[in-house]
Amino acid sequence: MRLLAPDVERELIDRIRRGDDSAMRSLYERLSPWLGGICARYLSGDESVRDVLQEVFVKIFTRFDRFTYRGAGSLQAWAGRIAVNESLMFLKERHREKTVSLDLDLGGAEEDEGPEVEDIPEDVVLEMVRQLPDRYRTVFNLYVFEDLSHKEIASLLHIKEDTSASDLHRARKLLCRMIDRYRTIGPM
Amino acid sequence: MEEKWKQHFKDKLSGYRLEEVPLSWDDVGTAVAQTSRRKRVVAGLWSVAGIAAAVAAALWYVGSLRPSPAPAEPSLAVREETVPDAVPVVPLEVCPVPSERVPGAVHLKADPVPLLTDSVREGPSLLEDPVADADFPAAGKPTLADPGSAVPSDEDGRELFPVLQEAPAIRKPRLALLAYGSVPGSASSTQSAAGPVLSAASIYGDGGRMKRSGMLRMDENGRVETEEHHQQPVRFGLLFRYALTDRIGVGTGLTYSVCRSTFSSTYGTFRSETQQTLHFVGMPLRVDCRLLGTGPFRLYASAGGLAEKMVKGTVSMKPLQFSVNGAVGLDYALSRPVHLFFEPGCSYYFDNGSSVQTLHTQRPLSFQLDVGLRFQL
Repeated sequence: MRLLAPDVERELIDRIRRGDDSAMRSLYERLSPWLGGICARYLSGDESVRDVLQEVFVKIFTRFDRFTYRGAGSLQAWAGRIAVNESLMFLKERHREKTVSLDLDLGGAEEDEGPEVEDIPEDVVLEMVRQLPDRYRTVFNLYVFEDLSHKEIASLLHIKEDTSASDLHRARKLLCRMIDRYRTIGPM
Repeated sequence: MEEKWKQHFKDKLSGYRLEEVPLSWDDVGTAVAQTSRRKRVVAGLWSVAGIAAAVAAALWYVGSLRPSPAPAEPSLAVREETVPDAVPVVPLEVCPVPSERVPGAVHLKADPVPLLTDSVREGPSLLEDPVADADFPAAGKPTLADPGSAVPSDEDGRELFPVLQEAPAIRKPRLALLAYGSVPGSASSTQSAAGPVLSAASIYGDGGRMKRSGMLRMDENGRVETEEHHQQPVRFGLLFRYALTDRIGVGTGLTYSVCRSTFSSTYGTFRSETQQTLHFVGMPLRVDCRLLGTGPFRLYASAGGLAEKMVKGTVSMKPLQFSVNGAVGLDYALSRPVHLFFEPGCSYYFDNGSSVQTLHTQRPLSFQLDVGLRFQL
């Protein structure tokens, strides 16, 4: 989804490089809801989302000299990359889980099934993702939205490739369970 | 088939936008300005630390270049004793100390007194008792004079032996090396907190920051309980101290410290525990002043600052960690060059803006006991 028209994007880039505050504000107003959505996918707490989103914009505006225009949409892609990296760094700084999960009974959906979310509102889907344990959620986001392989995820998070695959499997199982409950019980 | 669910999720959430952004433009502007200012302050502090370290190193280098005054050559009395003509001049060959061995020596005119020639010919140390009492004639038993006191002479008032005119200057060591460690106490910080997994329970939006159209919880409770346990950091250091005066000294060096923490969180049926270990290298700057001294004991006070950088850890902390400290110490001289010291004190750690939790973020003011050895160089 492109949030900046090509001509608007070029104009904003030129003005920000000249130190135009109004251009910075305009970029903030156009991208902050989408960047906030990215942070919300990675982070479970509202305060965490706010802190990371602030850090994302600080990085964007203090390191704008490092941005290189590579065509239409490159500014949005660059900002989105910063949001993902800052979210990952925040999670890494907060903790690295050593032991996880006392409840291992996640039976239910088959390996190739779902989770199917076509009929579920996007807000609900987002909340389900946010309820996943941090590492499952991180692996899920990197696999689904960043299109990383398990090998790449393992290298990024300093985990084993098998662990990445196992975490994704568990995340999918948990989401299936949540979706089943939602369809059965409805929103609480 | 597998990729279908993935594509559905991407279609749902890749373009998702928050209805209400939890951040205002004013917040962003303030944060950007603070970041720029913090970078300038850090650069300034590093410059000051670098200059102070360079000054301390230069002082140490200059101090090490200063030649230590050599022990004063025993200057013999260069005055010629006026003796009555009737007293024969002592020929050189019976002079107790050959003149060429002692610079500036002058032959003292004295009566020929039989001495222990063997030890004399070997060049006795003028600091030693040159002759035994028995070798002297009964009358006029000489003694080696203390500097500044009357020159020994025989019963006729004539000088018998050369005396030291000056005591050798004793060079007070100005440079010292301190090696110390902090005694890890049982003090630690534990903090518990409990909170909901999701912060509101409204179905159709809570009027808060994010709109929600439904919430599901993993269990009945949906609450997260967290606990943090921080151990007292363990620290070791090497400090070079330069004495500006007899009482006051300045010092700098290197420290190494380890901070360990444990974080536990329980949510529903899931429990996670994380061990956090952070390794810091730091540069201290300090001034100390001797307050009292009696015998081998010295009481002193010190104050200074410390800049630390995390060099290794299970998490990342990029900003430097700054602290100031003050202490009162007791120094005991085990021997002349080696002293043992105990230094209880307190430190205050400034917030460096990092989100990493340590004992210092929980309790900025902390107490420690440093124990170590001081080596006079």
